[in-house]
Parts: sequence; C-alpha cells; structure tokens
Amino acid sequence: MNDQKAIEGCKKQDRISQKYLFDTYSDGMLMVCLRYVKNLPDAEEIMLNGFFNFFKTIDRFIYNGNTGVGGWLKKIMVNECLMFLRRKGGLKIVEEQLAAEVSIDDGQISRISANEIFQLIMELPPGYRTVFNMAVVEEYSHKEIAAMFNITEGTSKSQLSKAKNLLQKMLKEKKMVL
Amino acid sequence: MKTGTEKILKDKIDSLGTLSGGIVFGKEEAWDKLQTRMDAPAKRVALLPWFSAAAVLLVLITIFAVYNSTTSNLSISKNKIETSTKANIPSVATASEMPEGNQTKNSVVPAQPLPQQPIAKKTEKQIPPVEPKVEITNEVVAETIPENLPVAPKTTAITEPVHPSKIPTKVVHVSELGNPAKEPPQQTFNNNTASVDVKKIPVVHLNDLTKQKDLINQFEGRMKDNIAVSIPLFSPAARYSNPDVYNPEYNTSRNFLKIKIN
Repeated sequence: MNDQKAIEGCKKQDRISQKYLFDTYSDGMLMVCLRYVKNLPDAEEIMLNGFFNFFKTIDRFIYNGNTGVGGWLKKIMVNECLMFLRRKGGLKIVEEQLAAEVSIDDGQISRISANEIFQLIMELPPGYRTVFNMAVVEEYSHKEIAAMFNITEGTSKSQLSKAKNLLQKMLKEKKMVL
Repeated sequence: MKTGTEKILKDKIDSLGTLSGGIVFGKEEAWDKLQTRMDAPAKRVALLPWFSAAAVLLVLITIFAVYNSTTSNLSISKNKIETSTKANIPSVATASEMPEGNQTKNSVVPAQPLPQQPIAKKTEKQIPPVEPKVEITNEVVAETIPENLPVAPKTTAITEPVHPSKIPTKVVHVSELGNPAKEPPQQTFNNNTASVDVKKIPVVHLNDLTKQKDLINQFEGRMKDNIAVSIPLFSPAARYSNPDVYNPEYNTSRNFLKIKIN
C-alpha cells in the first residue's frame, strides 16, 4: 500500500488505509506537536485531534505526491498546536524592539545532531519557540506570523532574533560551539 | 531570505521523522483512542432515533398543554360572555303582564334572576316606586240625578283612554250609585310623611250649578283654592286640561270624579 491508495481507502472510510497513514506519519507529527507544546501527553492529544480532523476532511484532499500527505498533515498539526496554545493562554507575544542578531557559524551548527537541536528548541520560551518554529521550520513569512498572532512584523522578527540569540547562548553554555 | 544557519536547522529538524531518544510513544494505544473517537459519531447516529422520539414526545406534550390552556381560556371567556349578555338583557315582562294584543305563545320568555350577578343585585336594589301625588278615587258619584234626563244605557260603558301615568279608574255606572247620603265615609290618606284629611265635598251636577249661581261661585272658589276639583267624566280633553278653567261645553255630563290633592 502506498499513500495514494491509502488516501483513496480513507475516502471510503477504510480502517486499514487509515491505520497505514497513521503508522506512517504519527511519529513525525508527534515530533511537530512536541516542538510547539513541549508536553508529551498534550502533544499526543493534539496529534490525535489532527489525525481525526484529517480523516474527517479527507474528501477535500487531492493527492499530489508523497509530500502532499505529510505537508497537509503538518499544517493540520501546527494549526491544532496554535489553537491549543491559544486556549491554554501560553501564547503571549509582547511587542519588542528588534534585537541585534548574532551570527552563528554554519560549520559549527552542522556538527550538532538533530536531536540536540530539537532539545535546545524545546528549552526556548513558548513565544520564542513558536515564532522560531513557524519562521525557520515551517517557513512562514513574518507577515503571516504577524497576522496569525495579531502582532507587527517587527515584533515577529524581534522574537525570531531573540530566539536565535538564546539558542546561541545555550549552545555556548553547553559547549556545543566555540 | 533564509540564512544558511536557518536552512541547516530546518533540515536537521525535518529529519526528525522518528522519535528522538527518550520519548516513548504508545502507537497502538493512540490508534485505539483514535478509532474510538472515530466510532463515536456512529454511536451518536444510533442515539438519534431516541432523541428524535423524545423531541416528538416533548412537542406533543407542549401542544397538548397549549391546547388545554386555550380550551380552558375559551370556556372562561364563553362564560364571561354569557354572563355579560345575560346581565345586559333587560328584564322582560311575563306573558301575564303583557297587553292582550302582544300575548303570543312562547313569544316572551320571562326574565330569570341571575344568581351572583352584579347586575342582578342592581335589579334587587330598585328604587321604590314613587307614590302618586294625585289619587283618583274609584268612586263615581252623582249626587242628584234629575228625572227628566235620559239615563245612559248599561251598554254605554265608559271606555275612556287611560293615561299611562295615571292609575286606571274603575268605571261604575251611574245607576249603580246609591244614595250619596249612604256613602261610606271618606278614607283618610295616610302616608309615612304626611297625612291629609280631605274634606267631604258635596258633588253637584252641573245642570244644577247653572241654576244656582251661589253654588257655581262656591265650586269655582274651591277649584282656585286647589282643595278639590270636580271633572266631568265624559270630557277627557277637559279632564287633562287646566282644571281651573271651567268649560261649559261639558255641562251635559252627569258624572264627576272626585280627586284628592295631597
């Protein structure tokens, strides 16, 4: 079974097809949720909500390749995470002046493992973490982020800049970089 | 524009398709949860008939309650209307009270008193009838009847029109009158407020009055003093006209009414 057949099966409410898609993408989607909410049970609950909505709205999904399913699922998960953070009140981004960006050596960064980077991101405050995830990992523009959180573009840029500075600081503290 | 560092970070994070070390995720348990959640709508559909039945029952009960309340309101308003109409109907005279010409079978329904009706109470508290100030005695007296005058036959009973405001008088034939000397004594009129004793006035025929001027003067004087008035019976026009004016055209009449004035 591949993604295309699984999608067709899911449109017919086939449980095996649904199980296939869940098994394929659940780990990755749980990691996406964890990047935003940090707490594993919450991330798991958000992931299940995301899959439930995905299977409910699968009739509107048009298959465009293998990346399409992951991308669609990722968008759903991010939206679920943002909704969760709004409900919980953990998403308060205050207006800040643009901070001076500190450059990190690309070579040093490439030597750090993905898991270590993931752990560092998880240690960021919720506001910085969210903006960093959306701007760097999900590749949203600052304009889109500003519209989503009802903030200015400058604040979004400032949040990202401060998140990077904090990451560099943490890398230096852990002696990951020189 | 993405910097090189950002690209490296993104690629590394995206590569975390599988769970990193230390994170334990029960995939099968999560799938069971998801299945349960996805099966939940089916259970809701199964409950739908019960909910719809309950809703229908509720609607029926509501309609029944509304219908009952409307019916009771209608009956109350009907009773109110009946009461008001009954109260507004004036009391109708019974068949025995109606004139002879108007008496027909089942034409008049006697008014029945309505219990516990405010209007009925009003009828109970009617103003007592005013005592007539002028009482007409039923006596027709002819004190002196000349022998040469023709006696009115019995068939010529006096059928004078009765004034609605007056009490109908009893008509007695002249021949039935006896000797004025044997007349019973005049009854005194006693009322709660005042009692007036009317003097017995000698009634004289007009023919005799014309012969005796003194008597005429006496008669006119009494008329002016409003003590007593004698009116000829056969002249209704003169009877209801000014009694102070003496009309000689009605001299032929032989009978007179004696009127007490309170």
